[in-house]
Amino acid sequence: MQSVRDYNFGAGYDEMFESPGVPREHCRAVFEALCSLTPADIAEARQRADVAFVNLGITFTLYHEAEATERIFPFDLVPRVIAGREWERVERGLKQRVLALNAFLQDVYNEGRIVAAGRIPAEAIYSSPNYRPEMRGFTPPNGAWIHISGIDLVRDADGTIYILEDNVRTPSGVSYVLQNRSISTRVLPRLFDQSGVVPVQDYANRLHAAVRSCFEPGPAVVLTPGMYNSAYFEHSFLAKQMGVQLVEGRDLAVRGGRVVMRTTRGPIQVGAIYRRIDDDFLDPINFHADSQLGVAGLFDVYRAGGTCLVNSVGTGVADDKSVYPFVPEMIRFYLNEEPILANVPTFRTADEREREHVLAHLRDLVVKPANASGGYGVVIGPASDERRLAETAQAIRENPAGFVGQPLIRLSTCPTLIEGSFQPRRVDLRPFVIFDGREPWVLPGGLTRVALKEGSFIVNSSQGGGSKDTWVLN
Amino acid sequence: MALLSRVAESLYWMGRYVERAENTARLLDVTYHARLEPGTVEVAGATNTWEALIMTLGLARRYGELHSEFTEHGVVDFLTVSRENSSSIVSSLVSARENARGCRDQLSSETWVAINRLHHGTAGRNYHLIMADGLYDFCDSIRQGAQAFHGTAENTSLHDEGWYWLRTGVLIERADMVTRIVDSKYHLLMAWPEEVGGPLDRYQWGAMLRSVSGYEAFRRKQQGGIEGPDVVGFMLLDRQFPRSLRACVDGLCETLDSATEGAEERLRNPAMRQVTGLQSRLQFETQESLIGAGLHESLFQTQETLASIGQAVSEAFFWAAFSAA
Repeated sequence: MQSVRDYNFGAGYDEMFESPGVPREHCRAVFEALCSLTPADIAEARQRADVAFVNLGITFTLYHEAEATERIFPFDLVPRVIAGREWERVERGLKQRVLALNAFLQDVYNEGRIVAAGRIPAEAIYSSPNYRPEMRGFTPPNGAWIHISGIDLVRDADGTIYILEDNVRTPSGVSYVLQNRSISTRVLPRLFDQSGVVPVQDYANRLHAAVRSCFEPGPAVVLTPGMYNSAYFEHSFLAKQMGVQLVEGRDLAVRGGRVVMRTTRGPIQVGAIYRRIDDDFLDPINFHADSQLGVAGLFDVYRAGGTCLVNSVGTGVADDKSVYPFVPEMIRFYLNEEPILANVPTFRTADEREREHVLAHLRDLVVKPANASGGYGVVIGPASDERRLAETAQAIRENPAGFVGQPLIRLSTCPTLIEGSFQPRRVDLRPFVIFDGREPWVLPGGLTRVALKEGSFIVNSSQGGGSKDTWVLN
Repeated sequence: MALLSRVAESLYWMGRYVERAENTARLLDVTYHARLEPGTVEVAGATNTWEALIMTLGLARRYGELHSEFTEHGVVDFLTVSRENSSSIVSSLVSARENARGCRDQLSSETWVAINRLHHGTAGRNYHLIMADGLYDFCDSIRQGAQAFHGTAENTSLHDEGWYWLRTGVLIERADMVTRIVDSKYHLLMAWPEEVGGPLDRYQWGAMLRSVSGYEAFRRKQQGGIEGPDVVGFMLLDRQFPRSLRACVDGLCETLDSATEGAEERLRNPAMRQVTGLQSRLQFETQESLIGAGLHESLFQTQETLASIGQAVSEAFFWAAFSAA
């Protein structure tokens, strides 16, 4: 068993240590507390946490194997700690970004000013499969398009925080933030004693208030694809935390221009719908005809103002990877401000000059499909062989609009318990932002995902990632 | 807050499946251990005890599709861990958990944990693992887990409509099972008139009482010996014993009344009419009148009524209700 004192993180940026053996100022208390734990304490806490996760059924489901399997999202006991001052800046940056993205959506489905002003090429927006022509001329209640967003941040080796991607459709992961906190306070109470960690439990209240406020008549509901969806745990968790019904498409119907749910006392009107179903599957009449998950006619009721969907339909165009490079421009255009948080430099292969650059530097870059999530299809140049690079080059030439290239960010590390010893593992951070049309609210911290494989850069749960409790200190 | 029809149905089936797992464990435990007593196999042996158990549970056809003989290995495997028997303990608990997952937001966190524990404690088992620890331990863990589930659900859930649907499922299943136990044992034992009143006969009646945790309760109420008709009367008509048919039906009457309170008459009446009918019938029966009029007929009729109540509830309040509404 190796103590946290002997932790060695090599050359990159570590979230807890300035240099080996020297904790960062804001991590000193946590470091001391970790030093005071014996190997037996740690093993016991590990054991208790594992049992708690299994018994609470905090699982996600994996589908790309032969059959669906229920997995625990691995939880690492060592928290990721963020200094209050740094967080204050991140929070401002996130609010700014959400306001700009929201303004962008209102604009591209209405006047189209940003295109007219020549700040974003029209094809980047209108050729995106995530642009929904059905939404043209529509303004959602309170002007809120993006009620809930999860914006992924990474830190490079020099300490700079970058926005890696925006998730403004149905981002998931917030339930793990809340559960991780409740379990780490339970199994490692001593770590909390002296730390001054900002609580996270207000999330459900904020969420409920934001959802309710956009359509008052009738109770709000959470719409899930059902218990076989990989994020079903989160859907039921949030419904329960908010005290609202968790419904499936088959529980809902459209009657007389309203959405009703089928109850043991007959149909009852519902209010706002926090839907965790993708646009494509919402309504078999208006979108994918073969969807079993949606509600026939739901979109028509929505457009006519008979309900509110959270998030709005069509938000995917704002987090499309080919639109991402223009977000700093959006901030300048709509808010008249300079971006507080930087984008990762991104090359759009749809643009001929940028494409040539990407093709010439494939072995140094990360190539991502423009329209996918979950870490699927990402090619990390420095870690790929010649054949993979050649295939990638071919794929880019065949479908130039389908990819973007970015330099490899040397993700910061965090001490992580691997088989009883503290080892450096790479982390990212997904903070969550709630927006009711007036003022964005940022959940303190967010979900820290950690790549449990040594040297790995991929933190996604579907690909061997785990999570950590994230502490913002006040 | 109004309850989704789908959720009401899930709660009802969750209750039924947990109860089914527990009853199966109880019966299996008692049968297995009664068998170990010397001599009993031969006595009851015209039909072997394993076959009798499968008949009691109404699973003869399914068992016959999978096995040609009624052996200990075959029956224990079939009733505990077999996934091919949808009523095995493991299958019932998988179904209970699937239903619980489908209405997870309605369950208190502790209730969910209780059902998860039951499931995780059994899902990885196989016949050899179970027998290595002893069948008693396995059956006991199911009984305890099911009781923890009932206790946690009762003491940590809102006693709202959803709770009453869960209880409706539990009570219908329990009532049905007690009629099956009495029916099969009664006929098995009565088939051997020369043993009636003898020690083995008493032993068999005792085992039947133990399968519903009723042995000690029965002894307290009946100071005399263990006579077949008294045991039948106790298991079917005793008002104070919580697993008797009468207690189950009284409970069902109350709980269904609460679950359907305020619903339209046309939806509510079909189930309520039948359950109150059954309740008043039991009120005015005695063990003599039951046995005298033909116990088997009467129990069969009760099972039909219980199934018909389940059907009426499902048509009026569960998922199917909406194609008509």
